[in-house]
Amino acid sequence: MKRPVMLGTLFLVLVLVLGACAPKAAPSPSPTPTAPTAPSPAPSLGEWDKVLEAAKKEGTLTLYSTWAAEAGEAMKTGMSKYGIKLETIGGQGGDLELKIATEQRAKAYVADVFTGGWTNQTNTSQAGFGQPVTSALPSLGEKDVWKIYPGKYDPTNSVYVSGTGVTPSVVINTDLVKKGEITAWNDLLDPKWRDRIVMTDPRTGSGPGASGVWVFMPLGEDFWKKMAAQRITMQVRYDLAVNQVVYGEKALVLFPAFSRTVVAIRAGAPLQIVHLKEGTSYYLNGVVMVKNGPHPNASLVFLNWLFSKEGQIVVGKALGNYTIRNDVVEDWMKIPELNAGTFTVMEPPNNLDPEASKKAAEFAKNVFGK
Amino acid sequence: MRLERSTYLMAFLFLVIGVLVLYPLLMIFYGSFRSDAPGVPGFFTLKGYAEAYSDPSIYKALGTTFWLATARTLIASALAVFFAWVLVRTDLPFKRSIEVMLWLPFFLPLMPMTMAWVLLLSPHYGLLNKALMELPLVNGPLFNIFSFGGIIWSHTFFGTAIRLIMIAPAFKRMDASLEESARMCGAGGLSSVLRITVPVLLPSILGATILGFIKSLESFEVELILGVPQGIYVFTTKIYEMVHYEPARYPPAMALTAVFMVIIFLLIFFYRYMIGHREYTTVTGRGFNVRTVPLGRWKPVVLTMFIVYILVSTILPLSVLVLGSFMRYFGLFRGEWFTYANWIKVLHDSALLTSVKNTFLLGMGVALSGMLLYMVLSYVVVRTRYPGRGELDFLSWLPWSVPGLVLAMGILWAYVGGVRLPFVLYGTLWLMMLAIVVAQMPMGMRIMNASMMQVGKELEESARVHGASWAYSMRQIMVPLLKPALISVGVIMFQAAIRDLATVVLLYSPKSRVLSTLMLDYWLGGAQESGTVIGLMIVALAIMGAIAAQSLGARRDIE
Repeated sequence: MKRPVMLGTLFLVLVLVLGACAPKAAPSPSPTPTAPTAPSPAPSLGEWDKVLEAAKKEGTLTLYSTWAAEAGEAMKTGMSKYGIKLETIGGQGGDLELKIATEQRAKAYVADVFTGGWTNQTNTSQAGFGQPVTSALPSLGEKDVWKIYPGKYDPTNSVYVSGTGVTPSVVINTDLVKKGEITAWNDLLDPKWRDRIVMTDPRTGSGPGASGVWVFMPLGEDFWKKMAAQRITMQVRYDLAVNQVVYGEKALVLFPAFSRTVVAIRAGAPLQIVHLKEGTSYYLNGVVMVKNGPHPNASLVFLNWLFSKEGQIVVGKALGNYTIRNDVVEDWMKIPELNAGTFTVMEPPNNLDPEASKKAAEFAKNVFGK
Repeated sequence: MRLERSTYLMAFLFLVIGVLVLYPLLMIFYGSFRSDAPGVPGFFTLKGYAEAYSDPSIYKALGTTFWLATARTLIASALAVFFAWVLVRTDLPFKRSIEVMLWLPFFLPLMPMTMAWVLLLSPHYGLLNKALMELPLVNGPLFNIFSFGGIIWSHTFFGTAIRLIMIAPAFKRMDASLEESARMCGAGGLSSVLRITVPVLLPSILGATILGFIKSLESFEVELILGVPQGIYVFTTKIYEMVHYEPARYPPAMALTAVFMVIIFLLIFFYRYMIGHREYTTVTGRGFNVRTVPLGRWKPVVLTMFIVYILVSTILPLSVLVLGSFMRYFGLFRGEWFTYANWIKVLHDSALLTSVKNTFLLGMGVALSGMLLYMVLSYVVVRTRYPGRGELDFLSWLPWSVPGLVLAMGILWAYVGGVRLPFVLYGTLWLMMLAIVVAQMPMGMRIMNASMMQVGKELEESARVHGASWAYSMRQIMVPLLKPALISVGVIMFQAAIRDLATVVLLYSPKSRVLSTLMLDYWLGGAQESGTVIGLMIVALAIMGAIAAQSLGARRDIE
């Protein structure tokens, strides 16, 4: 009698389980302030109130973001003030881009907003999955507050700039590289650095490696081929590239992820960001509202908050980024780790060309091999 | 009437396998002939094939893949057979605890574990290398994890564990009197194992070996971390590049998977040829003898060997993981390196509770549904003479004919981007459950098949002769005899559900988030240390599942 009871119990558990699954830096090295392109007119209060009310009713916002781990909790707190529960899905930009594309094609809409760098957001928009913002957002109506107006680089009002960050060209292990030993790109061609350099792989066409190479492509193909002859180790994973220098396996890393570099320095790693005399590049962070997202009003509230002074401070601080506003004191960037004040930022911004990363990837494949 | 019933049953099973397995694979195959990803407007072309197979580096990667897989398979299979024999057939003390410990590497999340091995065996900063260099006569690092040997090493413990899980039930079901007879006829211990045990258990051993070989062909995480920086490419890291590098090149990636399909077909034919029409029944109506072989003076030696193996394979890397979770920067012992911050951060994460609940639901759902589905399929394949059963068995292999990351795309395209369903499947635990049941089908089926083959038909037949219904004889005879295999399948399904990342990463939504995806969020978001905390939670859950399964097995054994 015991066995039938046991089998029956197993079956019951299976049914219950299946049922439960039912869907139900010192002088700011930030880019040269640019004249804002005409800010949107501020909406009438009543109009925006309606958006806020509708957003509260929607109650939730699903954010696909490569920033999830660093900024997730801060953004959740920011949104909770509006009665919106922010749910984040993290991952690599390419995976999230693929998820959104599949959702859109299947009409199974989950993502509301997609934040991260610039490449994947631009790709999403160009594939027709971005939702141009037609409603006027109060924050976009603010005047004289923009270093970079969010809609400056995308006339379709689909991909917005939400911040900028520094891509250090070179980070050295100070136990292995003497101070002042490397000051310019040509210093890296010294044979003593052969087999001692690691680089975030630019051939992926996204991330700091690709944007770094894009900026410094003008150094010429000959120069980069000489660099390739130094037998540089390519790392697809940003964290591993930093690790190799932290642990002393490599002497220096080219174009590491800034956030992971700062975590390492703050934890006592013998790392130093070196700003070469040719200049330091920076990247744009982008945000795109996803077409047919299930919570359109909550998405608008999020975008408005992200561009507001509060949102810029919260996200900028969490990511270690520069803001796009000039009314924010970016205290968090005045960190000794950045060696602020010792470098100039490259102009023009590195990845405004939507094809920039792809071109950099092709260039890198040509130079470093497939 | 009998024929009609079997026809209906077979039609139903073919429909189930067709929907679950064939449909996603056909989407991949279809994708290999398209100019863009499935679902994207495009046209039919062979350009994907031309692009994939005109690249000389592909052939080099193919060669590397094969020799690495062969080396890993030989090592892990030999270890697993030896371990299974010792644990089942000898009087080694603490056998049950040792068996659970030997399972452990299979439950440990791959990404943090690989990082732990890097931290231990890096030639420059590896803690173990540094410790060994303190010994006299050791002047340089003894190990280099970033090498072919390092890749094989990182896979060995995992591979041995899974083979052990697959092979051990067959050993438990084997009549020891076969070995005893051999010994009485003058065969030595080793000779009786090689000439009696191994041939009799050939379906299980061969099944586990071939499955292990196929899994070796399609693994990519370890190769990505340890191989790519050194220019060591395997087939799957090439596919990974095509899919993840901008611009994504789906057609050539899909075209490359066609090679996998051919390889799998050949391996399946080889397996079937080897199995042939031989008789593998070891459990008969006569009952069976499970007497153990005394190890005698070898007992302390064998016990010590197991303890060392467990220390190296599990305790050492797991300790590094635990330590890493309390560090400000994983592996950096400088200044004030100790911190509770990672644990506090994770424990305050609002997504944690949902993830734990979903992980448990997913694990249980997959374990139970997998046990049920594979048992029914296996019963039809092994114990009936229904026409089409061979084809059904063949189809059950197919999920492993493509790498895991490609299968996930096929499932996504099929169930989300393909036929419009009247309900939302995307983003639910249902879809994730379905994907894992499909992905683990080859392994689940092989375990069940091997055990089914060992149970003599006369047991069932005698029950039927005495008036028992089919359902009654299943319940009273087959299920109890298949209990070790069912437990193994349940454990594998449960652990696959809680640690599998490649299959679910494209399918989950915030509501169906599980621990493995939360770990990935942290890991890719630059918070490796917090990701390690989640990894340890996965390990804890997996261990609890394994202990529960073991307890169930133990209690039923006593009964």
